[in-house]
Amino acid sequence: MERNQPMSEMQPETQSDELSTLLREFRDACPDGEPSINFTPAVWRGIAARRKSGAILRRWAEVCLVATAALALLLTLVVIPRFQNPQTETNAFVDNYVDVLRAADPVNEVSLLPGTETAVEPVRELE
Amino acid sequence: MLVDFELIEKAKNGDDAAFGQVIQAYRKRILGTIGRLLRKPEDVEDVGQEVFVRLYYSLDQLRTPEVFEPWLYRLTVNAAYDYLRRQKRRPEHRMSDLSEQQVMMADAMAGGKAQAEEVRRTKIRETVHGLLDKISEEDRILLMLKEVEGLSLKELEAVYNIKENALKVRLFRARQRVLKAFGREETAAMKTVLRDGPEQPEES
Repeated sequence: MERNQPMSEMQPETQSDELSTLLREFRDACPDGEPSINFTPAVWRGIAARRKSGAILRRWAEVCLVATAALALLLTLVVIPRFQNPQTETNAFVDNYVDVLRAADPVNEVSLLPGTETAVEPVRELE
Repeated sequence: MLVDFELIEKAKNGDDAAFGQVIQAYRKRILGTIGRLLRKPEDVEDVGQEVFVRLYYSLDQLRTPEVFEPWLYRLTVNAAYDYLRRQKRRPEHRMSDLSEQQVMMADAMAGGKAQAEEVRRTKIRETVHGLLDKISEEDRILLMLKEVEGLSLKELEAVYNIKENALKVRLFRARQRVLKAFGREETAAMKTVLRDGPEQPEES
């Protein structure tokens, strides 16, 4: 190929070959660098640092796991049985207003109140 | 392979001394590859250290020692991607000025064959980086691994975990784009340098 041949007239194969040559030359122009003296110690420091942060994360995960298990146990043994057996609850939570009134004054029980129908006398027919 | 399979197995089983030997064997090659993939020599060692730290914690996932080198290249490529992504988020700091300065320093050097060779190498580096800027980061790294690092298609298949045909297509397209840029006038001077070899300094 002529040295002064314009680029546009270059054969594609030649260009491709020249590119390959350039890339090979690039490899030689950027040789493998010699690592510094601190390279390997820095790698081990990085490994140790990651191990430490991993251990902290693992510890947190364990704490969260134990807390979750304790909470689940608490729910199973204490809270859920309470909801399932409302008798054990105090009246303030279970009784309604009428029940509270009735309990407070059993003598003057209001007969028309719901739940007290049996106390109402049947209406007699006029004689 | 720069080390025995047995050494890889030992390192995989938690032998720190064996892992130290693996670092010794591969650090120069990995640093060289990273140096060619990135442009900031000051960051090459940091990325190289990250590669070996990742290797340490992922070695137990290596199926067989035979695929160790592609595995290491995959870690290298991923670390380089991560670095380049981080760099994209940061503003550029006088990159072009810096390289120009390097060229000027090289030019300013006194005559002599070694200096002339250094100037030529700097020009080659600048030209190749300029050409590879025309393609995407992924294609640039792929082309580098194939053309500069000399990895075979089989090895690249293991590195990228994609089919050989897909790799060939990507490589072909990347190369075509680079070739297009290479055909422009601005690289003509570079071609002359390639044909003629280093310029000889004038004897005084």
